[in-house]
Amino acid sequence: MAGPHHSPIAQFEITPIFSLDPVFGYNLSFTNSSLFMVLAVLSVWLFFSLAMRQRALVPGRWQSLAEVTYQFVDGIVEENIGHQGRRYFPYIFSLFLFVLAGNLLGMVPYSFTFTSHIMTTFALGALVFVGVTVVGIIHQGPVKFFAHFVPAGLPLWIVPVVFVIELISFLSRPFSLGIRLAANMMAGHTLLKVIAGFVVPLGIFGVAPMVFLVLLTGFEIFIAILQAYIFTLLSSMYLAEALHQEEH
Amino acid sequence: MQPGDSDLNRLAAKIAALRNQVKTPRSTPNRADSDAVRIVSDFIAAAIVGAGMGYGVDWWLETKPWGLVAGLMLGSAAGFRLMWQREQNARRRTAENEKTE
Repeated sequence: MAGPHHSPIAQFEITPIFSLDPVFGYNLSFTNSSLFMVLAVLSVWLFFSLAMRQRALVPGRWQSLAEVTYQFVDGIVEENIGHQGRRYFPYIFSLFLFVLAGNLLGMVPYSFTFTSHIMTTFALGALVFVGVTVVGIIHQGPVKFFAHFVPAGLPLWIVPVVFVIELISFLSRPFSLGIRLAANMMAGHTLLKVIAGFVVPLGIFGVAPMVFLVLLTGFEIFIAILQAYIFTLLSSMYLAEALHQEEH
Repeated sequence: MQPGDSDLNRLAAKIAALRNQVKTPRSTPNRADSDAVRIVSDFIAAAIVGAGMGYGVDWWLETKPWGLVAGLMLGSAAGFRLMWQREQNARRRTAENEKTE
């Protein structure tokens, strides 16, 4: 009955579209994952250039949607980082749109969800992490920055242990960002496919999983937006921490 | 002198009065903070990083398996520390919100 092609996790398989010879031992083939990343960027670009084409003072429906998206991320940056965060807005906004487009494109049937792969999300998280660390060191100076790892007023013998623990919790941030996004997307898409696998074999009773599937699809679209929001929110919170040293 | 000047002034005063009356509600604070998945992923990430560092130490100093054991324990400690910090931050924020209201 269910062949290997009907496996609920077959959707996560990465297949090369153009195979390339390894460059310095790295496989740089253009895969279905790369294709959907390009599509994500293209769809964001298309959405904004088409929606903002009229540049009306009183926005139409599409322009409103573009403006609401902009203001939404603007609100996140303003509320978490404050006015100092203005100069990082382009980065946060791009990050949000890329993750959002990836999550939403994944909801299109027969598409590939690149945000369900931990390597992709971890790379995004690592980018945030490196950026935040560099900003923190530049903004606060290396001494003050690393002083956060040693809370004041501790007995001397416990300082090395606390330093290691603080270092681990600091280094775990990109993993945490990546795991959360990838786990959410992967779990949701696997669940969709598993439920979908019940519909046809159950015959007339397949209506029940079908109804559930429709509800679940709506819920997954909500999750797609929510997870893009959380990724952005956490990134800006980390950035805020790097900029305002008093908070820790 | 325009005919609608006093009308406009009256309207402006009315709007200002209403603005003062209706305070814009604070945008829902920190809903994501209570996100259980966030706590779990923070904890798992800390444990993974700790274990990874311990494994690295093992590989470097050939102290298998003690680096991994210590790393896992330190990683879990870091995970609990993150949980504790979040709890404290959430408490401080709710206290601040209550103070401003």
